[in-house]
Amino acid sequence: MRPLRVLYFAHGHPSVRPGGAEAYAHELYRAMRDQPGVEAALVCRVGEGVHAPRSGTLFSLVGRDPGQYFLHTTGYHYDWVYGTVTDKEFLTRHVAGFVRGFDPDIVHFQHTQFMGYDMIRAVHQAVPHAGIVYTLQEYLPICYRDGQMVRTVDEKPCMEASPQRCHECFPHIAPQTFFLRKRFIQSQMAFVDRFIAPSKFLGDRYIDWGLDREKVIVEEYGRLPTKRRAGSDSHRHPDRFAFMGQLSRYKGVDLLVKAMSLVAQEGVDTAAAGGTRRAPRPRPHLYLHGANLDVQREDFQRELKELLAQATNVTLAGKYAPDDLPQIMADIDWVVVPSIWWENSPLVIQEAFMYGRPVICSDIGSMVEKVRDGVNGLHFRAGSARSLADVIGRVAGDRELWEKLASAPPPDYSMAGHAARLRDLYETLGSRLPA
Amino acid sequence: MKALAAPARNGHAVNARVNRRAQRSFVVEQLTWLSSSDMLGLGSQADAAALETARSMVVPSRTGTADRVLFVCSAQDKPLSRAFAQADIASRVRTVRDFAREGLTWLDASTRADVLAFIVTSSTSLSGGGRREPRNSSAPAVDRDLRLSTALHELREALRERLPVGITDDGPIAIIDAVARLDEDAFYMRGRVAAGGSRLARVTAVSPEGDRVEVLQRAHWHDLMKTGDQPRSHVWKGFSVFFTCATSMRGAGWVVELETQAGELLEVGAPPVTSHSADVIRVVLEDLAVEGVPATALRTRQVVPAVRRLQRARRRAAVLKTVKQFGRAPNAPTVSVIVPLYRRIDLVEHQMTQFADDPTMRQVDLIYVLDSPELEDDLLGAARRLFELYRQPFRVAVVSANVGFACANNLGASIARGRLLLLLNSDVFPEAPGWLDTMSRFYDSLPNPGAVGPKLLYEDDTLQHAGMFFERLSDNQAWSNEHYFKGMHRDLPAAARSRPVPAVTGACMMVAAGLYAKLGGLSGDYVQGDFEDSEFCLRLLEAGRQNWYFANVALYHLEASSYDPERRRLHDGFNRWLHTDRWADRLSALGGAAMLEVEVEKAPLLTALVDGALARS
Repeated sequence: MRPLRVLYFAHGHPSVRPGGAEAYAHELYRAMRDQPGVEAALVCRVGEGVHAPRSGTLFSLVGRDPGQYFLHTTGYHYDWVYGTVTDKEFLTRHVAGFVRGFDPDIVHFQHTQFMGYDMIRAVHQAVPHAGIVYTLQEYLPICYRDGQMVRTVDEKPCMEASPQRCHECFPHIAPQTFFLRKRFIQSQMAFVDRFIAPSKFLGDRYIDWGLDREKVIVEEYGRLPTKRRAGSDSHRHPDRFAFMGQLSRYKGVDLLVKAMSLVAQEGVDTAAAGGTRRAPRPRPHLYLHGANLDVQREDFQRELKELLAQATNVTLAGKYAPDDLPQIMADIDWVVVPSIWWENSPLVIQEAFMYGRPVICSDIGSMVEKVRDGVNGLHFRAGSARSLADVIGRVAGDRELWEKLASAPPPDYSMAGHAARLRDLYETLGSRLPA
Repeated sequence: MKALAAPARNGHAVNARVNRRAQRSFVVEQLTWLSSSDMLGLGSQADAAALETARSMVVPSRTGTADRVLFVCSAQDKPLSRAFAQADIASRVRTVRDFAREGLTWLDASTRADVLAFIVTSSTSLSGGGRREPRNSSAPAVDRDLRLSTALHELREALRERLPVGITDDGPIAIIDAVARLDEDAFYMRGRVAAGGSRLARVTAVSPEGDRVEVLQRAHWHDLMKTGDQPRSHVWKGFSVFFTCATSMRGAGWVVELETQAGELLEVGAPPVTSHSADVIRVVLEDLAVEGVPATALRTRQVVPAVRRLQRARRRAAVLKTVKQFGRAPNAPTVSVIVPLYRRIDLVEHQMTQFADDPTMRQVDLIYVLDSPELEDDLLGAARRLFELYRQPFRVAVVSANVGFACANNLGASIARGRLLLLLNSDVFPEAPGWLDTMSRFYDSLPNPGAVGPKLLYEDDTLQHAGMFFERLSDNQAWSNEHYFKGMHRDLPAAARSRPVPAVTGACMMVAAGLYAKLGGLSGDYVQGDFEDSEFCLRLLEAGRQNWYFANVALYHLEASSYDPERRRLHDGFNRWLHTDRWADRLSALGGAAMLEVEVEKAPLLTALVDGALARS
């Protein structure tokens, strides 16, 4: 029996852009490649700044691994409104040619940004017998606003997209365009056999939007194991809070900083603090581990910088690499995920649990699916700095509560299990010639 | 030459022959080329006779001797080519300007005017005046006409009597606002005149080629409101006139001469000729939009004939210059779907997306008619890629020049292979697969079908179309087209029943190809897309057919046209009037079938009204 051939598409490679999405795609590919009876390849889109491919092809090897390729899209204009490359030759000649050459049993899309939703159709046409899998990472097919489903009119989460509502968020784009966008994307997605939803909440939103319920499978991201679970000093107050991720408005960074300022003004809840003269009082402090403030909108950058300037209990800790995580986790008590959008399955929540740290998060979307209030973390009212400040103030001195939440057993995120389950799925979808 | 080269045999006979030939040598003073094959010459009476040309006129001789003859002849005439065998003839050829200067400019004003008129008339008959074959099919003919125009213009400039340009305080003054070309021999002119103390006796439009047309009587005159940009405190009148003349090709050079009853003379130059069809329409229709200008006489005597002439010229000129097939053409297709494209091609991809997932569309003869030929390369390039990706066979047909919605559809119909036609707008998208089959079966089930139109929806699932009817607010208003239940929710029960209706929209209209051809297709007399569909439906009713609204199939009509609202209003006024003018009597006579006043606020009442209308009709 010939090996199961799996082809992955991703919007970037970690060697070019070290983000969580790129890292996951890469780790999954390697886990699959290393399985017996599987041949895998990973195609990562790349733009300017990387060596050009040979003339006549858009593909080049990433390094020495014969299974990792760059797909160069330089020169091919991508229409973000519809999600398609304008010059279809990109698909009909280049992508189709590569896919036919690789002859996969399964094509698994991690992303289609920069390459187009109609790439799904082109792949199906090139290899009609192959099973097609698509992982839903955010809400881009549903929502033009960066796939966040947060309305521009009031920065609140969007319950339901419609041509008119989308037009309200983007007045310069006609409702008819959003109508066509949805039909275009859904028409291409009709060729997908299975959708992987890393959270049930996200999967349900897509089913509401129109995906076939039978095709949606809920399956968490698989993660490589941590080196060791971080220990914790039981004599301290659990008063160190961390944010890890993009410093963007969607992630709620600004409201977290506002909450810390409120806490600084009002002081900590003394009952829980159990403050005696001798024991030092809790001094809540926030560590902002994150990057990309400079690519956010001007007004948000200014706003956040002003808030930071006034804050006395916040430290801007800067970017971090995956290898820094064990130390970061060891030095903090709580991970805060104050996102104002539904979220999907934030990698940072997985990491917090893997390292034994409880999570404080907004009470909406997928976050409440992953973090159960009073079990492995706490919720606050989404979008409310006041509510978040109350929680922080209440828990910063509550060692007992912290111990209880931190000791909740973490879910099994093992990449081995994840890859095995995906492989089972592939086997049922792919058609291979019998021995 | 030949005469001199003949060897002498019998001296006497040869001499006689030489003498006879010598008699036939020409005394032509000078010649000039009007075009590569037409000449103007000045010579003796005998010359004119020998050249067998009927086109000649006598002019006095400068030297006071025998009158000479001015003649026009064509290179196709054998005598001319024989005449050219004489070497010294060739040496008498002059440039047009020199010809005029040496032979004609010394003549008095009146004779010069006669000479000019003669040349214009003669050269008109040369070019076969009123040629009707399409322009683009005969490039040499166009070249010839252009050369002729240039030559005639030079002659006009050399020979015409200039008049004063009107700078006296009390004298008449005029401004020409526009000269618009409807056809090579039909124009529309607008201007303003202040006659000064006395009334006008003559207003003459002089074409760049020298043709003269009297327009005072034939023009529509109206008082003008006082506006800031009119010089002096005279009483101003505006004029609009549709007129025909000898073929005029030049883009500039029109002059208007005015003469008052008091004998004052004036000439004024006109701006360059407006020739782009969209601008021409604007020039012609703008008058109707000006308040205070009485509309009816202006419409019937100037605007309507002008528009018809323009549309006819555009139709004549338009052919399908490229037809390209993508994919394998279906064998014996039942339906041809015709989609006109105007100014944008991006929606083709979105229609493809919906058609491609509908297996029944593979058997359809799908034709995209590009009515914006400047987009030909873009469309053909995109079309090839779209076919590779979507695998839906189709044809692209490119019109040689923009002709408008009606003619684009008619041209598409002319190459359609299906027994049934479906006219489809580029911004209409099916809701679900199988719609066209369902519609065709419905059409074929009807005993006496005319046009059939399905349910059309806006993107928010409200009704855009569920059949059309005709309505007017009062007897002296224009009839307008209305859509039943527009804006109501798609599930409205009254819109869920298929039934006969007065008309259906051309955005999605099914009609038998034979019937379409028999009725001559959509009317090209309307200006840019509106009322052609309703008028076609009325003609179907008149032919004894029944039009139907079909409720079992729905498509989305996004009304995504790039139609400037200002221009739309201008066109709409004209189209509405033309429609009413043609159909008012018959619409009133159609009675219950044509009119249905609907109170859209009361849903149960609607059903009763619809049923009542059906019962009455």
